[in-house]
Amino acid sequence: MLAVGVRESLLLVVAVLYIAPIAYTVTSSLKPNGEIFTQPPSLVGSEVRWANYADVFAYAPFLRYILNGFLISLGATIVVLATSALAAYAFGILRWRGRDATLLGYLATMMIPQEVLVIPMFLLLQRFGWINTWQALILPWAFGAFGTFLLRQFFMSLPYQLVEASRRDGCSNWGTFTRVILPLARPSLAVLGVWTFITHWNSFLWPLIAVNDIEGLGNVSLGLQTFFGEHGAAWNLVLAASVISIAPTMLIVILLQRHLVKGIATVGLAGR
Amino acid sequence: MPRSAVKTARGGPVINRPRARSEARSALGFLTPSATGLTLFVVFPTLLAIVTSFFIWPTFGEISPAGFANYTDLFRAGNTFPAALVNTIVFTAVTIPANLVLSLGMAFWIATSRFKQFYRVLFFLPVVTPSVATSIIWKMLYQPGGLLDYVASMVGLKMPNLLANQSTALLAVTVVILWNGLGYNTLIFSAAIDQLPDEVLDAAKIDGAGFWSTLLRVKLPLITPAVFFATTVTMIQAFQIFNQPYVMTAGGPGTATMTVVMDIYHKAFQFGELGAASAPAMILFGLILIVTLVQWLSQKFWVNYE
Amino acid sequence: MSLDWGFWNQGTDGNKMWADLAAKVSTVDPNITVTVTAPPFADYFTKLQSQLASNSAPCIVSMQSLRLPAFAQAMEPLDDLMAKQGFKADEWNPAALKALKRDGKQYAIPYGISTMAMFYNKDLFMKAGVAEPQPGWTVAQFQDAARTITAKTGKPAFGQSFSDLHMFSFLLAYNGARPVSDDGTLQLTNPKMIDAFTWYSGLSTKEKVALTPASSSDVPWGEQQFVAGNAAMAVDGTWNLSSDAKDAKFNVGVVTIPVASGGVSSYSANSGFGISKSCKNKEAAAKAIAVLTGADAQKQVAANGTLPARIGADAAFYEGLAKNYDAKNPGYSAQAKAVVDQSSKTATPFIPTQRWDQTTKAIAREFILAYTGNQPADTTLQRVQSAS
Repeated sequence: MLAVGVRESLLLVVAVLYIAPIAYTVTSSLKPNGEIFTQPPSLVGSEVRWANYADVFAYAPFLRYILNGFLISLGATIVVLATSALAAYAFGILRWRGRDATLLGYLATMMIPQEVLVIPMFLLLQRFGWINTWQALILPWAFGAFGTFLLRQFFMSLPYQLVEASRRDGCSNWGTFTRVILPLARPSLAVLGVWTFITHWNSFLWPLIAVNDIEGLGNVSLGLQTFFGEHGAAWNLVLAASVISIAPTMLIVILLQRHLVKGIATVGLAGR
Repeated sequence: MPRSAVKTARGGPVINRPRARSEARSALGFLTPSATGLTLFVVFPTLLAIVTSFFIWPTFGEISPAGFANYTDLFRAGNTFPAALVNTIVFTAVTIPANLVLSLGMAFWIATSRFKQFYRVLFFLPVVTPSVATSIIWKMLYQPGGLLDYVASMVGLKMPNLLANQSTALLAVTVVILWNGLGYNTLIFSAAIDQLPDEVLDAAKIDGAGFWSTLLRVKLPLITPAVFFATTVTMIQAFQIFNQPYVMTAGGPGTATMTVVMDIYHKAFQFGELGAASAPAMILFGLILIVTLVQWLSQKFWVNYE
Repeated sequence: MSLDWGFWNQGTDGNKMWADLAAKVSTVDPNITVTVTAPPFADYFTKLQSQLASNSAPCIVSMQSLRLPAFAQAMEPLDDLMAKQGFKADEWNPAALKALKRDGKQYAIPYGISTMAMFYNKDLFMKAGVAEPQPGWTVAQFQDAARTITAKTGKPAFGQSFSDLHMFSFLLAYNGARPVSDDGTLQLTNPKMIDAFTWYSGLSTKEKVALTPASSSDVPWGEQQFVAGNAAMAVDGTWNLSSDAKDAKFNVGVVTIPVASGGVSSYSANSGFGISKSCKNKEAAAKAIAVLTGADAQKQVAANGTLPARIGADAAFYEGLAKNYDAKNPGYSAQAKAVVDQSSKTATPFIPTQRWDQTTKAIAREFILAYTGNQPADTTLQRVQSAS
């Protein structure tokens, strides 16, 4: 009994310490700009400046950035889920010659760092006339092999009998895909979806290059940089804006937590 | 489920010819959207980047062939690449075990608690915080006169300036990166532990296995697929670190926190030398490929798929 | 026709002012509409590079004097184009024009001009019982003041920095050492520079009167610590005369950078507007630039807190300072004017090398080792020289 109590309290202490830097972010975000770097450091400034949060929206069209980021992340998530699920079916359920070799080739592409691709990508999109468009932000990074890899692991852990039964019933591959595999795949789709959403939400380098109209298309990461001016930064606004940007992704994680946990477990990661 | 009763699609002999042909045709259809996108947006730009590495390709100006010059220049005196490569490799070698041990430990610890859901989300919080923000905050913590220094002074110690010292800077940044990313693997492992079949755990208890014995010899082996996945992903990410050292120390002091991706970024976007930037990118690509291949092949030795 | 104009984010008030000026172009010539894109400053030049790489650079390009050598080859010389718009060189501050010239050709028309000065904390000076410095003061006087203030207040008096302008201005004032030779090559290892830099880093290692940056990513360290009240003195540009007074919670004073024998008072730097080579409507762009830098526009710029580059437009600047700060901080605007006048007399534009970005990156990484005493000054300079 005592042992449990001690273990739980210790865990709580560790968790609180772990989160302390974030708490510090929140308290610092309520200080006036000049006081963020004062020494010795203070928890609260000369005033609790809730106005910082309002100022974030006044200084820059931050609400628009949040909306843009949301639309882009959502669009990318849909593309990723659709194409990856289809490809995962080909790699995980269907059997064909050269399947494993092709898969390896697919996976090799996961290891290419983004920084290498950015300039060739830009030149390419320019050819299409796609600079400063929604498709330029949603499509280029939505075809990575990661999603295919993740979903394939999951599809492979499903009992093959289900597929055979479906075929015996006269279902085409498409039918098997949509009526048997996909419904079972919900948790793993949740995992992939959340991961894709967060990655696009936080992306910075590419939006910077591909976007000319920041107000129209810029996401939150791009927006955070607006507070770094030519002559010093509005640190209080940067911190407040950062706190604001945590909220949407955190909300999604909390809401989808149960699906996430189930999905992770069933993506062939738990050795059932 | 006993192993023999379940057939999975892990391969096995392709049974009858007409079926095989129609499956291959189907596969083509299913693969087309993904493969088209991959070719257009990944393969083609990569090829272009490879070509670029053999040219002097300034952002604006004359393009001229360079042979292997971009590669040999990397090892000339004054170039930041060798230090960047060493740092990246050292960082990866240190972070992977540290990350795995810590996140596995946290996951098992959380599993014993009544408030699992709460802790999972809590530890995940740093993962969804913009890395610009976390880097700034940790910088403020590390600063002389900052919060950590202040706390240390309360017990009579003085905190050295970790970020300004060549021997401690990389370590200090590593701590931040670990802090930032642990929650992700913790969530994965925690979920995997949740799914452990009760029968197996009960059987272990009946056999008289204690807490630690169960953990190391029953639970851990069962979640090796999750460990494999987490190791692969974490390793690929570790080779590509950039945000935190860039914001916290800009690659310094000296070249103590320079990483390969930072080197690429400098060369491509700040010095405008695309050819010179593509060379280190190719080297990084090759390195990641080899390491992941080795890892992939080693699967059969330690990962238990059912 | 529609012209693209790239300009880094100027903050809410600044953005509005420049947007209004852009609209004004259409009233002068209804055929022209100027659309401004304002990326964050931190990324403006990165973005410009990739725009130039793919031939999608805006027509009107905003350019800093410090970056001109790297970008000049992508910009169109303006001499003929602007002459057609009635441009007269003698209406402008000569240093402002010179900084945006290269190989004798004018590549951008300036909208502001700044010199470097020493900012000090009047309250801390009073607390330590040190008399406020006067324009033209010497390095010896500076060191005395710094020692006294450090002793009396317990905090190092001077904030060191990695910012190129800030730090090299102080070295220039110390013994005239210049990092870049007249023909545009980097010369960090010449004896004068080694002397000056040894002295500068000695302020923290030997004299212990300086506050060292916490890490090599803290480029504008001294200036920021000054505003936060942690350092009594720091070098900063006159572009911050207004914002420093606004942000600081103490009375700000300003004086020239202290000089020693052979030293020259200050570098100048500024920004302006040019035309990219790929622009398809260069004449229209020139017309737009003429409006953006016209006499009225310059007065507005001055009232908004930036020292204008046109001669005679700066009265509005000092009036603004007086109105906003003289009540709490008597004599500030007069002090500011005295410092600007004096430093402008001997100011020379800071003209960097073509690979200046490499140098500044290396400076941030290496100089911290010198400031903390972990690496000797001459080795540090050598390493930066070879990394550039």
